[in-house]
Amino acid sequence: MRMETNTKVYKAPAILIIDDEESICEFFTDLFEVYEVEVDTEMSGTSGLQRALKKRYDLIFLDVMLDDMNGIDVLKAIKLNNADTKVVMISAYLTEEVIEKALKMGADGYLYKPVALRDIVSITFRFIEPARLTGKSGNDNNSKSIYEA
Amino acid sequence: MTKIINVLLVEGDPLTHKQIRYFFDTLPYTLIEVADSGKTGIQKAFTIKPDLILMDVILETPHAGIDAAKTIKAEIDIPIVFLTASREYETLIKALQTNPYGYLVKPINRESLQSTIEISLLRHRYEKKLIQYQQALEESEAMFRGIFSAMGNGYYRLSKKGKIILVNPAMVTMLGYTSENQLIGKNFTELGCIDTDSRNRFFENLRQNGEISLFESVWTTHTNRVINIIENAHAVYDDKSTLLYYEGTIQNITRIKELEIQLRHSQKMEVIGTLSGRIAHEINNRMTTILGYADLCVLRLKPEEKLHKYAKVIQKNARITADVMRQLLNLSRKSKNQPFEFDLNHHLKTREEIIIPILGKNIELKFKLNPQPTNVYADPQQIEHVIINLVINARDSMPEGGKLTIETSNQIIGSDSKWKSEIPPGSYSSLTISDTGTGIPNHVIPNIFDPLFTTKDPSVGTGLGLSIVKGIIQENHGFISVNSKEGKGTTFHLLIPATREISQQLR
Repeated sequence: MRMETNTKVYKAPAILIIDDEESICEFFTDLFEVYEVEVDTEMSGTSGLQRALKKRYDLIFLDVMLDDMNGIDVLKAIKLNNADTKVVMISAYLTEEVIEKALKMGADGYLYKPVALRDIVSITFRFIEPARLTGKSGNDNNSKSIYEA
Repeated sequence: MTKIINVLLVEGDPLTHKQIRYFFDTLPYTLIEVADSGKTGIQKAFTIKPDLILMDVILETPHAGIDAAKTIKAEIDIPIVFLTASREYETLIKALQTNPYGYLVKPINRESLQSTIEISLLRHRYEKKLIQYQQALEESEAMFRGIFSAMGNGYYRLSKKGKIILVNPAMVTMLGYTSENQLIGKNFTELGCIDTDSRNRFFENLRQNGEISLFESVWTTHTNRVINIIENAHAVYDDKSTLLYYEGTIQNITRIKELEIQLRHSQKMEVIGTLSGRIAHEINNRMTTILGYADLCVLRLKPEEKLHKYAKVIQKNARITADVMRQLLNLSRKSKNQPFEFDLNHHLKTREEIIIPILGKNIELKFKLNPQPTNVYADPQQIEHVIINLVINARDSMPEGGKLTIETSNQIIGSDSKWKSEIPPGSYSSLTISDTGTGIPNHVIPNIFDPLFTTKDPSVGTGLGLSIVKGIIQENHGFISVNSKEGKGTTFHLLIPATREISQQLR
């Protein structure tokens, strides 16, 4: 039911990347370019949060160590605003304490940098139905072959 | 003010008594008491304690005075002057045995009485002082002996030619000998304690300056142990500036040196830890893009394209780098050590299913587990990490296959153990992991626990494994050692405290 409402509001699933590394934002954009997905990127906690409050995202990849804000605080605010938005924490240095805290605050998953392509894709598939992620070419083989990369 | 001299007279003859009393009227002495027998003389001497006793020899018996003098002398120190009518030589000899201060033959005149008394008192004063000096001398000698034999530092005295004249017990033990006789008459170089070059430099310095302080050198003991020595020495001259001998002290500073090295090492590790955390964080961020784009290239290029192959190489190397970084982060991360007591045998048995696939088909796994419970007080997750690391190392050393043996036992390190200098006494559990692999070359063994040291191809290993293993074992207050023979295999021995009490003692 909810999925239907979403598809009415958005033509395609929306993904937001919040990471202060420009190249990482670019990479996520390039990765998803073959899919019918709207990808937005923000390079700071504040701007990321502003965007997440304005628009409903299906999935947000959120860096834990941002220059201006702690990723955990951003997560808290996002979840408070819309508990349905799936948030996956990513970091180059995740300790058990941080993971525990993030999960307590409602994070839906976590990834260690450097992130393997297959992990990004599989976690995306977990939260956005693969059917909604049809490739632009209409060929579904793309998602399968990612696992072989 | 002259002191009043109290004199006790023991005299049987009333005439002599009268005469002395008469002399004393004009002499600076007080006749404090008179006794007419040896027996009463002794009693009065003990009660009055006079400054001097004039003692007649012939009293109730022919030698009663001499006997009385003996008894008094044995108890109290009072100068005794004999008065006698006897001119016999034998009486004199007998009297001399009591060490008298004077021997006056009657008739006595005033002058000789006064001079004898004065000389007696003077001699007595000097003797008293002499005894005091002697006691002081004995005390100081005892003190010197005490210091000489109890001091922890070695003391030696050398002849002008450098031969050993005197050594203290500490010096004997420090050099691994059992008796000073093994050292005396030889010099340190001919004993093999120290090399000639170093000793020559030492003597040159000593001769030039007359003294040498905090001279550091390396010595070899009789039992072939190498020890670090710090030495102080000086030359001793007589009042005409002629060299008499050299003397010096040595201190064994091996332990201090070791601690210095350990401290420097742990400081280095701390810096590496902090730095590596930061670096790894930076690099992992970059690696995300490098690896990500490599993954994307591999995914989107056709396998037959050359670029596909290039991308694969980037991908592979990026993954290795990421792995190094992950290990570096593990090294720098101060994970919370959560120890408790658990049975190592059970722990190993439940890990069998992880170990077997790591080893692969060609390597046989053999458990030789202690039939008794083999408890350790440690963090089980960390111990698992150690086991897995050692198993992987063992596997990599047996590319052609072989046998891996994991053994456990209980170990009591007693106070008489040969390991007691390295491992404090207590009960431990031992874990031994041995392989039949290629072994580690001798020259490499001292470095294997160093971070980043590796003998593996960079694409296979990173060299962080064993330093992490050692770090974990130390964190759990355990000990690790390695035995290896090239071509035969390698054995890692681990000793882990069996109980919490021991672990805490080792903290």
